[in-house]
Amino acid sequence: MNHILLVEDEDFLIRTLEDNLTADGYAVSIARDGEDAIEKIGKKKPDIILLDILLPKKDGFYVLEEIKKNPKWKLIPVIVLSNLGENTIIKRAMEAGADDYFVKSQHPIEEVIEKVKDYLAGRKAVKSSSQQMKK
Amino acid sequence: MKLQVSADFYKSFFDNMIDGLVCCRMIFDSQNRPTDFTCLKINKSFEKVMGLKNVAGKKITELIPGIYRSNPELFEIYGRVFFSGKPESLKVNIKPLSKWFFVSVYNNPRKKNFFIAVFQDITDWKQTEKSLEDAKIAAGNVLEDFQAEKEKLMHAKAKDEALLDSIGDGVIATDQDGKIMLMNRAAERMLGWDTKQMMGKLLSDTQAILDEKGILVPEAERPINIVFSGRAAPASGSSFYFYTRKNGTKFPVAITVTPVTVKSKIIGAIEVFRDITREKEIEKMRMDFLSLASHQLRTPLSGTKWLVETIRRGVLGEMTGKQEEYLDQVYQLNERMIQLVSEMLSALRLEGGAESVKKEMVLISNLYEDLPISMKAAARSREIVLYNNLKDHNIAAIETDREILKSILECFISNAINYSQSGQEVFLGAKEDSAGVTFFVKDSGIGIPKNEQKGIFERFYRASNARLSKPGGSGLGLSIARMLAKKIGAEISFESEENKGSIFYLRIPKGSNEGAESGNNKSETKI
Repeated sequence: MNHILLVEDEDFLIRTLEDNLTADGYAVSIARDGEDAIEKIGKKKPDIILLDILLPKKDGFYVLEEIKKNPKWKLIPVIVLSNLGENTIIKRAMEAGADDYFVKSQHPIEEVIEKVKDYLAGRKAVKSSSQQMKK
Repeated sequence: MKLQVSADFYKSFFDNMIDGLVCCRMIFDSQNRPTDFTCLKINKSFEKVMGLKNVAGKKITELIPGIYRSNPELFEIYGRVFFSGKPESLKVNIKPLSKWFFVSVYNNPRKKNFFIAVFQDITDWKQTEKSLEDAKIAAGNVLEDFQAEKEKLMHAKAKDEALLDSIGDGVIATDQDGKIMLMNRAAERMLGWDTKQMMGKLLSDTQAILDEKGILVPEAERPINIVFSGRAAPASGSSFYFYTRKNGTKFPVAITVTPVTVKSKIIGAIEVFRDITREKEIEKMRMDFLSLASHQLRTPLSGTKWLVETIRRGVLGEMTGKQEEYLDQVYQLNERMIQLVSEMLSALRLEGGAESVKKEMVLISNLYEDLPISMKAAARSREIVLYNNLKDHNIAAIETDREILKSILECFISNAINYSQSGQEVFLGAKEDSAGVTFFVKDSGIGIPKNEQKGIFERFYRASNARLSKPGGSGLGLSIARMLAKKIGAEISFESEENKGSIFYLRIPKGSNEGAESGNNKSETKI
């Protein structure tokens, strides 16, 4: 069973993502802040990470940097889920090593779940619009 | 013998003298007033000097008619000399002869009623004197004019100086070598240098200039040198610099440089710079606010969206038909809210000019694929047939900002979908000519009533039939599209007829580096 780490501090988003992913047969663990995320990745390496940017203690950028500078972690796909929609933020996240960026309100949850499935199945052919914007 | 010599001598002397000499007899009226005189004897020069002929024995009023009226002073003086016996002289202008004379008058004590007058022609001298006088007057006038001009200049200079000093922006004038000739008070205040210290120096001698990222700008790339080199200076507002004060501290400035040209030769430049510290602070506050507002507004909306989607996915079990219907309503309302927030925030962002415009080559044929899936899904769910005619433009590319272009087309298409009815068609296409590319989106929907077409680009404006057919719209879409078009130098226009449909155009002028002409859309691909 694939293991997904969800880094998110909003309860209702945790709940809805957890419910959907669990229903689709994934094991989901939750980290509520940046420090917690690093600790959880250290304890059990996830197959994919869903990462929010604005988080208590350490933010999503910190988590991204920590993941990408650790040789053992750097290949874990990271999908950023944030409500920050500015191009500069998206660009910064993509440059820091995020594999995808979803502005939450602009994408149906179905699309996020499909994306997770694609990554876990090793299919990266379908890119989100955020990624194309990076180019 | 002695007397003989003396008489000959005087005769010879009188005959050879250049001045005219006349011996006259006075004629008086009954009241003893001199009224005329008879010329009895003259020397050789007299007739020549006077310009008269056959003078001897004639009355002066015969010889020079009108002289009594024109020169009464002559008669007066003759009378006076006659009675007093004292010689007198005068300068006189004998107008009938158009000549000036210096006349000396003597009486002849030995002969009663006789007097002698010597006429010296001083016309030339008088003319010289007059010319001199005229020249003096002219010189006086010139001097007066000069003084007036000087005064005017002094006033203008004082005005200019006051004006320069009252300007809040820094003004520096340089010669063609970039050496400082003038600085106003604001420039002195902002930079911490005074004019005396800066005079004759190059700007770069005292002023380091940094770009937006804080990197030192090379000498040749300073705005003033860009202007001297004949290149177009960057438009103020598009970029800003940092200037350093005398004490080494930095501050952001917007710089405008204008060359001073005489007969198309640059003889100097005027640099105007403005301290934009406050603007930068406000811009940052605005951006921070927008960023926070958009995040805070989106979070509950995206939460609601995903929660409802989770229920609709059936993750939590089946719903009754009625529940599903209600939930759909909740979902639609939330989507409307998401759209509204997104549009309002982008309008605010655009107004602040926060988003920068990129220049990139955009392949027209790929544009449709980049449009949001949700929009295409909306067309499908409303059973609107969307035709993408951009596919065949495989040669044509245009240099513009891809995201902005997409946003405008998205606005056109979603309007076309929203205001069409089930089964109707929407076409997305483009036409090319040598000067640019025109994108168009055509529908056969409700159209815009003629008398309401004027207002459709106004913010929050919605045509009456649009309000009826789709109550949820924000009225922001086209106003944002127009702002976006302006940003990329494009133009939006439209044709519309109520109940027949609309066609919206986006015209993007082409640069010189675009691809060759491509054929117009021949085949239509149904999506």
